Formats: sequence, C-alpha cells, structure tokens
Amino acid sequence: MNKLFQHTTRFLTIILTIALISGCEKRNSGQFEDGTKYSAVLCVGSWPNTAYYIAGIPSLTEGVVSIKGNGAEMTGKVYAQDVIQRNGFYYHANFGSGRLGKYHVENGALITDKEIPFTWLNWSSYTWIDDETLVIFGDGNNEARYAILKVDKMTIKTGKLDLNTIPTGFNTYNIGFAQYRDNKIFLGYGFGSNDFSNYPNMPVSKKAMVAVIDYTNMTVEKSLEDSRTTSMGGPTVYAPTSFVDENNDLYFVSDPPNMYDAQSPSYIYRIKSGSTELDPTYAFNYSAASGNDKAPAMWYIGNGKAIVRSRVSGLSIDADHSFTLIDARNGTFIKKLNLPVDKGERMVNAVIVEDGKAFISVNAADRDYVWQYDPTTDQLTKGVEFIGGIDYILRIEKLR
Amino acid sequence: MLYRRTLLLLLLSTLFFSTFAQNNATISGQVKDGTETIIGATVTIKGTKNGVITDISGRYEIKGITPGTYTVIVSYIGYLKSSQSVTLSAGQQKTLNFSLSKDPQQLDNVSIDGKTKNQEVKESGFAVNAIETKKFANTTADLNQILNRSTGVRIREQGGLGSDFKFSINGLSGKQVKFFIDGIPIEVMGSAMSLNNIPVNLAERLEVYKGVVPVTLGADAMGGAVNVITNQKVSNYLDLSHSYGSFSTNRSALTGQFVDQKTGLIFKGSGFFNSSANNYKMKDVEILQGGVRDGDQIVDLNGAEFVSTDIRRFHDNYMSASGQAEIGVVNKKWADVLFIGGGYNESTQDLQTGFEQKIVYGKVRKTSSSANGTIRYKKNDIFTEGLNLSAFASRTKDESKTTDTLLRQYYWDGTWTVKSSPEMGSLKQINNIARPRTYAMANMSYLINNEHSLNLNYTFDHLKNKNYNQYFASRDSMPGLMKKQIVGLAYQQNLLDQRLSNTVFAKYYRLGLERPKLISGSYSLLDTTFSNWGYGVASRYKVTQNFGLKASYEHAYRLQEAEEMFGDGLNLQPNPDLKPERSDNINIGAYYSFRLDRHSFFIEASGFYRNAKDFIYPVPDLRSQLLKNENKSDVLITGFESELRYAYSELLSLNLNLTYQNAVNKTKTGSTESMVPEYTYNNKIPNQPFLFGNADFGIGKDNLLGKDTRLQFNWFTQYINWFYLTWENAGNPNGKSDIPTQFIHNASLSYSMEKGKYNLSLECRNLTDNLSYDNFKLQKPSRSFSVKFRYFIQ
Repeated sequence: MNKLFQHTTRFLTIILTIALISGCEKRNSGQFEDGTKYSAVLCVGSWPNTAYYIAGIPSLTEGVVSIKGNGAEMTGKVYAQDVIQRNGFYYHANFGSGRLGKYHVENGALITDKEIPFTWLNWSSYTWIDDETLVIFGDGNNEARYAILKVDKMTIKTGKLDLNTIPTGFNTYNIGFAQYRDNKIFLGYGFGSNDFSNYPNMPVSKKAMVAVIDYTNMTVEKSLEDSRTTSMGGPTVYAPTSFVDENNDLYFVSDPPNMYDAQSPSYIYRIKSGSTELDPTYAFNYSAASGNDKAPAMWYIGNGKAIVRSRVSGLSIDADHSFTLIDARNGTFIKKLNLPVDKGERMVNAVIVEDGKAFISVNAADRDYVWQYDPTTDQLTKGVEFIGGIDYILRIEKLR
Repeated sequence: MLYRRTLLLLLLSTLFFSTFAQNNATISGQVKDGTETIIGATVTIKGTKNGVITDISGRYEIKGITPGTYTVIVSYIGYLKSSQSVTLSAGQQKTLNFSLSKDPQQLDNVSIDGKTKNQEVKESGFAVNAIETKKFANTTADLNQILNRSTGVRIREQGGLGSDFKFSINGLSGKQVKFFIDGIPIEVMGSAMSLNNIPVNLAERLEVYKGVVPVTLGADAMGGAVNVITNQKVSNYLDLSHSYGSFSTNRSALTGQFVDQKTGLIFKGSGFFNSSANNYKMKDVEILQGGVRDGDQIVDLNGAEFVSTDIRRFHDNYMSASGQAEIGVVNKKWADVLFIGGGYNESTQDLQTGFEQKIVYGKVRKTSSSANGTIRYKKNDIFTEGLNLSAFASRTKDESKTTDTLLRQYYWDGTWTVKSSPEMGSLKQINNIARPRTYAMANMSYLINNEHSLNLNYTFDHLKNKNYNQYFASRDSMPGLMKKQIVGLAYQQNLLDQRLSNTVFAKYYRLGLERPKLISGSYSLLDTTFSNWGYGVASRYKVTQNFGLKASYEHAYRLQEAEEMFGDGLNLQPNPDLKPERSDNINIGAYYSFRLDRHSFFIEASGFYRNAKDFIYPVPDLRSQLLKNENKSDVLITGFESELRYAYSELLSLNLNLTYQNAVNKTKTGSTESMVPEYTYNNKIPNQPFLFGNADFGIGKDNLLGKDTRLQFNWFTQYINWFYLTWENAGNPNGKSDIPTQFIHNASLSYSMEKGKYNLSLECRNLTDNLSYDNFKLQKPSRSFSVKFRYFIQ
C-alpha cells in the first residue's frame, strides 16, 4: 500500500505543479499612454493570426513605437484599417455584423462608445460636413447609397443616390472619392462587376464619373464624365484621394488598377471653386509624368503641392510604392522623394500634415520610420521609428 | 459501414498431461483470451497460499505442490473467472491451459493491466491513445466527446450537436488530421458522417495516432490520425439505444448482426439518427430594442438600440441520419472475410452564427447527402503461410448544398432588418458541391518469422470536385480532379524476446491534380503532378514486463487538395503555386503499469516535437473579398502529456490526463518584405489552448440492486487554462481579448439489468452551467440533461 501512495502522490504532485505554474502565469499589466497627440494603426502576424492595434505616438519626430505591451487591441471590434478618425474618436462600419460603431482608446483599450445597427451599405468613402456630421457612401444591393451620421449621438439618416444606370455587363457601383465643398458633395464613381469567375481578368467600364450632389436634399444634380481614366479615387475609408486647396479648388486623382484596369493612366482633375464642371483647362496625366506609376492616395501639404503614394505600374495593387511630390495647382510632377521603397500594404493612410510639414510613414524592407518632409527646405529627416517587426503600418493619425 | 464487435469467444479449456518422477508436483500452462495471451492474470490454487501471475507470454508455473486434488482458479480483471479441478501425483508436471472469456457484465470496467487489444496498441512504438468505448456505451456521447477527453487531443466545437469543429492532435489540426473507420477514410462514407454525430455505440475502440502514423492507414496525415474500430465479432448481436435530452435532442443508434447458420451468410446493419434544436440559452448577447416593426422584421431602424440580454438560439436545428448494411461470408477456403455493402446518409444543419457571436444568421442552411457502395476482402496465409491480404474498394456519391439567399441581418431574438448583402457574404448563393469518389486500398503483410515482418500498403483515391453556385450557374464548367496514390512499406522487427520492437517505414505520395481553365477564351487543362517521399521509425523497448520506453519519428506531408489549388469557382481563388504542408514529428515516451492487490495503475508520459512548415491557409483579399490559399506559416510545437489511470477492482476507476503544448510561430517574415524579423516570430501562437486536462472518475457496483445488475456513477471534469485570442506579447494587456480558464463538469448515472441487456442512464452536462467557449468566443451549450435507454443482446 505504501508503494501505491508513493506513486499516486508523486504523480499528483507533478500534475499540481504544472497546473500551478501555468495557471498562475500572470498577465502583464501595461503602461498607459493616454493623451498622445498621434496614433498608428498597426498590424502584426501572418494569416490567420493577424492582429490589429492602435498604438499612441507621443512624437512624430523622435523616439520609438513598439507594440510590445503597448497598443489598444482592435480584435472583436474593428476588423481592418478602414476606420475614420476625428478628434480622437474612431468610426468603423462592420458589414459582417451589420454595425456602425464609435470607439476611443482609454487605458490602453479600445472602448466602444456606441454601436448602432447599420445594414444599409458597404462603405467605401466619406466626407465630413462639419465636426458633427459625417456622410458615408457605398454600394448596397447594387444601388449607390448614402448615410448621414450625427456622430455625437450616433443617429443616422439613409438614402439612395440617383447615379447613372449600371450598363449591361456590370452590376455594381464602384464608389470613389467623396469631397464636401460649399453645400455640394462631389462623389467619384464607376461601374464594376461581382462576377469573379474570370478573376483577375475583370470587365472594365472605360469611363470615370463624378456625381455632383446637392447636400441639402442629397439629390444628384449631374454626373461629370471622362473616358481617359477609370476608378475615380479608391475607397477613401483607407486613404484620401482628393483635397480642397486654399483657393477652394477641388483636386482628385484616379487609380484604374483598383478596378482591374491595367491600361488606363492615373489622372488628376480639378473642379474650380464655384464650378460644378471638370476644369477644361486642366487634366494632369500623373502616370505619364511619373514614369507610368499609378496613384492610390494623395495628401495636400499646402501651397498647391501634394504628396502622392505612387505604385509601380501593373494590374496588381500589391506592389512597391514610393512617395512623390507634385505641384497639383500647376499640374506638374516635381520629384520622387528620396525615401526607402515602401513595401507596405496597398491602402495606407501614410501622411500627416502639420505646420506646413508632411510626416510620411514608410513600411521599408529595412527599418520603418516616419519621415519628416519640410517643403520650405526640401529636406527629409527621420523621425519616430516603429520597432520590433511590425508587419504593416496601416494608418497614422493626428488625434488633436 | 462496418460496425462490428470483437470476438467474444467462449473456448473450452484444454488439458494436457505429462508425468515425471518427482516428489512434489508442478503445474504450468498458458492463459489466453482466444488467441491472445493474457499477461498479469492471477493463478491460484484454492485452499492454499500458492499463487502466481502470468508472465509476458501469458505463462505461469507453480512448483512444489503436495500431491492431491486441487481446484486451480484463474482470474483477470474484465474476464470471467475460470477454474479447473486437477489431481496431482508425486513428481507430476502438469500442463494446465486456460482460456478466459470476457465478462459482458463489466461494461464499465477499465481494462488496465492485461494485454487487451488496447494495451497491444499502446505498447507499440507509435504515440497513440487507445480508448475502449465500451465504458461510454450507456452515455449519450458522440465520438468527438470521448476523444476530447484523451491526452493531447483538443476538439473545438462551434456550438451544440452537429456544429462544425476543429480537431487538433498535439497542436496540429484541420486537414492535417485524418479520420478513419476500420482503416478506411471516413469521407468515403460521405460528408454527413462525422465524428460529431457518430454515436458511441457504433464504435468499439478508438485509436489516436499522434504525429507518426502507421502505413496501414494510407494517408497524408501530417498531424495524426484517428481510427474508429467497430465491432468485429462473428456472432449475433443487437445494440439498440435512444436518448432524449435538453434542447429537444434525440439520438438513436442501432447496430446488429445476424448469422444465418444454414447458409453461413452474415448480415450486418448499423444506423443512427440525431436531431436537436440546439436552442440553448445565450448569455449576455445583444438584441435590438425599439424601431418600427412588422412581425419579425424591423422596417425602420430609427430609434432602435442594442441592449444586452439572455436569449435562446433560434436557428440551429440539426439532423443527421445514416444507415449502412453489409452482407458477406467468413472463414471460407477462398476468403477469410468477404463483404459487400452499401449505405446512405444525410444531414441538415442550420447555421446560427458566423465566426463571431455578433454575426447572427437566421436562414442559412447546409444540407448534404451521400450514398456509397463498398466491398472488402481478407485472406490470411494466401499463397504462402504468413502472407495476409486485405483489400477494400468503394464508390461514393456525395453532395452538399449551402443556401444563403436572403438579404437580411438577423439579431439574437430572431428579428431582422433588410441588409444590402446576403447573410454570410457578398453574393447570394445556393452553393452546390458534388464530390464523386472512388477509393481503393490493399494491404499485404508478410510474417517472415516471429521476429521480422513486412507490410505493404497501397491506397488510391480519385475525387472529382464539382462546385457551382446554382444562383448563377447550373453546373460547374470546370470540375477539378484529384488523384492521390500513397504507397507505404513498413518493416517491423521484434527482437530480444519481443522486448524490442522497431518499425521502419517509408511512404511515397503521388498527387495528380487537374482542372480545365479558361485561358484567353478557350479551355485548357491545367495538370499538375507532385510526388514526395515521407519516412519514419517507431520503436518500443520493454525494460521490464510493465515498464516500456517508446520513440517515434516521421517526416510527413499533407498534400494540397484540388479545391485548395484550383479554387472553388466561387469565393476561393486558385493558387497554382501551392505546395504541400510538411512536418517533422518526434515523440518520446514511457509507460509503466503495475498492480498492488486489487489496485491497478497505468502511467504514461511523453514529450512531442512538431516542426511544421508551409501551412496552407485561405488568405482573404480586401479588394475582391475573395480567398486564396497560401503556404503562409511555419510553426514549432513542443510539449508533453501525461496520463494516469487507476482502478480498484471493478469498483472504482480514475483517469487523469494533462497536456501542455507550446506552439511557437516560426514565420520569420510577415506579409511584407522585411529584413527585420516579424514581431510575432518566436511568439506563442494565439487562439490555441496550451494547457488542458481531464479527470474522469467512476464508481460502480454489481448486484447492488438485484442479481445481474450494475449501478454506475461517473463524474467527468474538463479543464482548459485561459489563453489569449491574439499574440500574447502584443498590445496593451488591458484591452486584450482572451478565453478565460474553464472547468466544465459532467455527471452520469446508469443502471444495467440482466447482465447489461437493459440499460438506463441519466446524464448532465455542464453541471454548474458555466459559460464555455471553444472557438473564438462562441458560447457552447449551457447545462443540459438527458436520459438514455439501451438494449443490448448477444
């Protein structure tokens, strides 16, 4: 019997020890960094174990950012980088669960302020009317739809847009840039197909359009058309493709490969202040000027100049990116910025503009920095570094 | 389906006499169960203190017996006592052989120390869990629930009866683990057959091979394999059961066999029926309050707000039914076994949620049906003595359909709003999958002598994959074709008086994949062929009769499937560059069993190592919402597991096991090109339990409430340590999502009458009504009760 107890005791002791060691494995407590002025949406891991984090950036010009014990986890709330940030609040539409939510970061966690049922549309683009009013656009059941969101109480008003009818061979609206100016919303659009049987050889509708919408009653006044390019600005929930400059002139850029068009060039268009027509004196063939690059995103940095996230030509949108400087006002290509090749994601909100300077995050093969570009001195300097092996830097945001 | 039971032979005892001139007499002999020797059986002479235990070859010898007349008694746990009367003269050396038969009454007994079939499997060089399902026969468990209690196995179910599950053995899971019934891939029976619906009564034993898989299971099972062994005996029997429980759950099972004495024909039949509403209560989920409603539809969301509540599931009905019949002969000159059979099974499953609890479905439904025809043949000593052949062939028609056509967003109370896309995805679908399959296997073993044997195994698997969305097309214009051939050769040696056993094996995988592809307007055949060599070794050394050491290694592959490479024509895009997954697997372990009086112990501990590369995962594309399989990640898994089994006579049994596994990500670069290793490199893989264990306690007594009855009580607790859903070191711990530590308790009480002919049992699962999760944070069933009646004759 002694032997029996010996064996049993020994075995149980081993089990208990293991259970205790592992069971008591303490969860670390994190440091909090509330009140940072900037943030980044970062992604780590390979599929299916990818995880998204919102990490605070104390300064754009110095220091390091790591997600080791740092960053608010987005899992279970926000699924990708298609978030809209304003005044430190993040807005995200989750089409799978049919929700539109408002979130903020507090004590290192992403807090849900409110989620409302939202099944009306699959969002592509948005424009702010004022601090309280957000208009979002997207395709829903093969209709072009919008929703006006009052972000304070998260109340919503929805409607349809009377855009040009979808022609034969296509069955969806592809919604491009959206820009509010003087009670009008300018909305880029085109036609697409969801028949993926011959993917990636998809049918291409050789036309780019801009709807001029009266904000008061959300009626479409007219659609402007051009056939030199397609895909009038990508889904802007990922990155901007339009801006209004100091002269109240509206500029926007097209990205044909986004709608499977490998042939057409990227064009930049202008709609002058007070006008609702494409400026007939202006059409900037960005691809021709940049060595056949395409333009998935564009940020205005002041004085008529803009930074373009530029992609090497081809049907694939998962290609090398670079950053170029253009004079949008004069329709000229200035130069390619001397930055490392951007190996990052296809859709990145990579630029923050502050005090006339541009801060550009670059997902390089080597080390990942936010670079400061000062247009007055034409100087590039390294700023904050993302360390520890971030897979994707998806967004950088100015919170206040 | 081949549901059979092992032979319960009642063999007559034999007596042999030989006489020698000595003063004291000696008795010696062998104790067997049919043809198998029994180790550790107690042989005593009634009325004396003389007694011994049989050795490794089942032999015993009692010396120094005074001449006279005695009764020799042989007993062994799980068997009927056997006794023989013997008269010994001076100096006589008497041989007295015994053949024990199993005690049908001891249904709940744990056979521990004898060389049962289980023990034999456990004592092979392979890392294997061998589970007797007999002791669960009166419970309502399906095979998954039994397997989930065993060492190193984690089955993560999405919900209630019939829900999708992910089976993992030592950290490898999904298609890396293959399932068999009597050595035949379970898919051959049709897609409605699954470990989550096969009732316990249809199986006799379960074998779980971890990482290293014998060639007889001809498969590219890189993570391991589960083999369900059905009843194999050659006499009449009938096992009929029905259970009813919470959530309107009904489960019936039937298996039986009839031997026609006149013609010698054997008829076998088995079947089951499962149905459940799975309407268990969901805790703290959100529903909408307010808004303008028309019946279940919320026509205007204005003023509608999410509020939290507890509510029952409303769209999770499940039904599955299966019937399988065989007719054949045994013990003919030209065939030891020849059976032909056929079967049909079908299932209907409502889907209640997506991968996340917030995503509620209200009308999505999956149905499947399949029919099969089979033939099997076995002949021992064919052509020459020691050369055994077995062969199997089948043809399966297998069809399934997933319907998702409504533009609706459902909420937990069953209300819905109009959505601009169907419930599951971006396209309406009535997705049809048809997979006609021809499968054949042949196994030849040759026993050169008692020390050396060879085994050659060949499997041929031909599968056509037709996939189309009935909503847009009426057929698949580009069906995919998979032709898989696996040849395995094993050489086994049993040296040092059977103490050392070595198995060396090699496997050759050949895979042919075809799919016509539309290239610039015309179809051309994309034809790809792969071949790979796998190999391995499994060894066992018995230090003493009860103490053994084991080690095994395999360089294993999991071949890509047609759909993974060529896409499904719907949401899954082709990737012609896909490679097979591969892994180097090592197991080392030791076992020790001993008995003290009526206490029996079995202890086993082992360590494992899996170096897996090129995992195939479907990666979503953000722009098109399409998936594409890629060889994405490398994982290194190390861990250990241990098991203790204890029994006191036929009264008490206790089974404890614990598994720890450390799966570390070895994917150096992420999606982007980078010289800096990915942050997650060398981090623990998230969303995977790493420490879990089970405790199974049983107490039962015979003849407590009358003659030939047994009352049995079982308690089963499952423990899963908490784990993070995402990378453990990434992000602020304050906001990290995790699955908390879980203790789930279950209990059952069963009462058997007339030696197990009539059985009645009561069962409660999740006794304390804890929240339990398996997959992400999808809630599993709340507390449930069931009652089961079983009728068993043989």
